[in-house]
Amino acid sequence: MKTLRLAHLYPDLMNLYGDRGNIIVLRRRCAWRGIELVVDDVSIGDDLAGDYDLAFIGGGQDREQLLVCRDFQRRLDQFKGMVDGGLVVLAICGGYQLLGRRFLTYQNEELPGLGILDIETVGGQKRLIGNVVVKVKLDGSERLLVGFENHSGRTILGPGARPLGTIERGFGNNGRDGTEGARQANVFGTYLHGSLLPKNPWFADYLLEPALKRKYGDDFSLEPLDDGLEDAARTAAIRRIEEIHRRRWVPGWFKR
Amino acid sequence: MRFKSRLAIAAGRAAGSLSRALRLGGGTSLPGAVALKIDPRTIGALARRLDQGSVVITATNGKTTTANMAADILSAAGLLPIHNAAGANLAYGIATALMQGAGEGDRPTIGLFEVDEATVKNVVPDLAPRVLAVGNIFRDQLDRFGEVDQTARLIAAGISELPEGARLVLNADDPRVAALGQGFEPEPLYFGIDDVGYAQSGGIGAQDSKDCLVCGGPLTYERRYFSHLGHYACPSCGFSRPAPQVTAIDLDLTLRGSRFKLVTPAGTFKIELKVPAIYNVYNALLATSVCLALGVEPRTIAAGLADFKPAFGRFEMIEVGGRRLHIMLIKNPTGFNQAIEALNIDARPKNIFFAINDNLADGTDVSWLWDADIENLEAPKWLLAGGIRAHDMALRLKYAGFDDGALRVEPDFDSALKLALDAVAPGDDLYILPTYTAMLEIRRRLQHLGGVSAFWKPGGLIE
Ligand SMILES: [Zn+2]
Repeated sequence: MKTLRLAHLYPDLMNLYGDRGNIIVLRRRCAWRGIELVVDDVSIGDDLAGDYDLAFIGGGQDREQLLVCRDFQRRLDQFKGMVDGGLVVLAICGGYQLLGRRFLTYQNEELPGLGILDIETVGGQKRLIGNVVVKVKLDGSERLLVGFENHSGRTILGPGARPLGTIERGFGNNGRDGTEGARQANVFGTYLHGSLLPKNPWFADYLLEPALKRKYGDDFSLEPLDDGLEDAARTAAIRRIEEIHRRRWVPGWFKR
Repeated sequence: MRFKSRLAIAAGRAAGSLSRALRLGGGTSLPGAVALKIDPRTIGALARRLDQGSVVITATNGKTTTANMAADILSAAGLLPIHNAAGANLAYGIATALMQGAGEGDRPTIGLFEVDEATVKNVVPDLAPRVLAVGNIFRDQLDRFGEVDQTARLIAAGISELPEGARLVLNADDPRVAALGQGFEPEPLYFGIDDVGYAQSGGIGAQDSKDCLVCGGPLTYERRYFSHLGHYACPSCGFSRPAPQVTAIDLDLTLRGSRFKLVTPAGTFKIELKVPAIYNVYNALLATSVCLALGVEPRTIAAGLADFKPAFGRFEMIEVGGRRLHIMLIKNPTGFNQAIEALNIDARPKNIFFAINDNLADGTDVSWLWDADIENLEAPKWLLAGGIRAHDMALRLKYAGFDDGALRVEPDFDSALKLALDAVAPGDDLYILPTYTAMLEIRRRLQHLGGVSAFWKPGGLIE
């Protein structure tokens, strides 16, 4: 039986907005193809011991992000080595910010990041909240990602990182330059939760494929699955997002 | 009363009558909205006329149930509680309740308000409540408040506005809530569960509060009742569950109701609640504590709780054509887990209709469906995902392993209810788990059916 190992980084601290849905989806989509996805929780004080193919880190609150950042320093070199070796990483929201070079809070307090993605984040006063549709061009073909964002940080990409996609609806990295997320080698960061992978199964497979190829050779390809329900959910979500976008303003008390 | 306040109240009432005459709805908030627009001090002006003062109840889950329990007890104690309609828990709704309640009967009046977590700090200065009660802080509608920590900060801001001598009533079993009482004078009244049989262990689940609020270290639990509620302590700094003055012991929980012993400083009482599951024991403890803080006799409290009937959509049972429809409101992962826990009490194969909307009152972000432990659902027979976000719910069920041909998706409420009533045989049960606005839509349709259930025939809804 084929096996993949995933390190779920700080699941007890970094788990906002249904992040664990992404893990559930990766595990199921592997299982439906006869692949076992072993998920290890790696939190404060734990060793990153294991030959990992994938890593996932979710969103957290400021307080928890600080604890994680402090703990991560001691395994930073090891983790960078794994990334250079082809580890596939998915980082959402707070986890995405944490992988960047640094974070400047709204009060201009500087928190160091892990420096794995060439991005910088500055705290903003107003939270960027709402449904998101992103146009993504990864392997030549253009596809859509839908999700929900909720962050106060504004992220700017440096020359080392490419945006994951361009915003169709929503704010994305900073609400100004029309970009969403970042990609550098096999490291993917995004503000989309919602959860991200259930309604975007093509992206789940896009993450699994390089991990499997690295382990089982370039000939390996994923069997297609029946994604009828997933695709219908994505289409329904996009329809809903367009409807909200068009809806006229109605006073709050009137709806109650 | 100032002329401006009188004018504001008159204008608000007129707007309410007009809206009713035109069948525009908005009756639980519109009068207050109009009055507050004219005079922002309307709430204060009206609240000063309540001869027994007022009480504010806030929580992520159970606000309405708790306020209704407290209202039943206060009525049994001979008071006339003026309270806001379910869900109208923003300033508009509170102002509307005060406007409508003024001048009724000759009993002493007391204001009893369920208040949205973020609104507490806005209405406390005007209401100057005698008692402020906090039930729990869970992950809920984070798209509105940002983060769980932020919810606690908003409530703390409300506490700091309390008048001299006001009492705080806090859930000792919720570390985030208990921490709100640190340094508060007079000593808060704490409540909690002391039962040994119903504690659970293991699993992170929808736990929203895992580390110590004081030092950030991890909390350890001797006992956990659900989510992060239980008997906890922080080994690093010593922060721990305060000893509660009001507790429940000897719990006996079934789908039909909850029996337990209520232990208060004034004696121990046997309680039989008509609502099931452990979270309703917490709701009863909060209502009890609030009434004790107001000086109500424990005997009256026990009688009031025994008479309590759940409000529509909060574990109510309705009969339609011989089918028993059980409605359980869900609005966040913890509420969802509680509903599943209650469903699992019924061991037979079950018909379940999940109705998920993403309107403002539901929370516009549906990612919380992934934080609920849907995998724990036992013995599903027939599953239907409905509402605006029917597909998101269906996906959640699929990835929880429940899509083996028994799963249907139908966003339209009329079609979904028709499917459900066709699938469920007379004499059988249908469990409906709706979000807030989905509950209102289902209620509207069932009201049509309720009185005319005889006209319902398999294969069609006849209106
Ligand atoms: Zn501590």
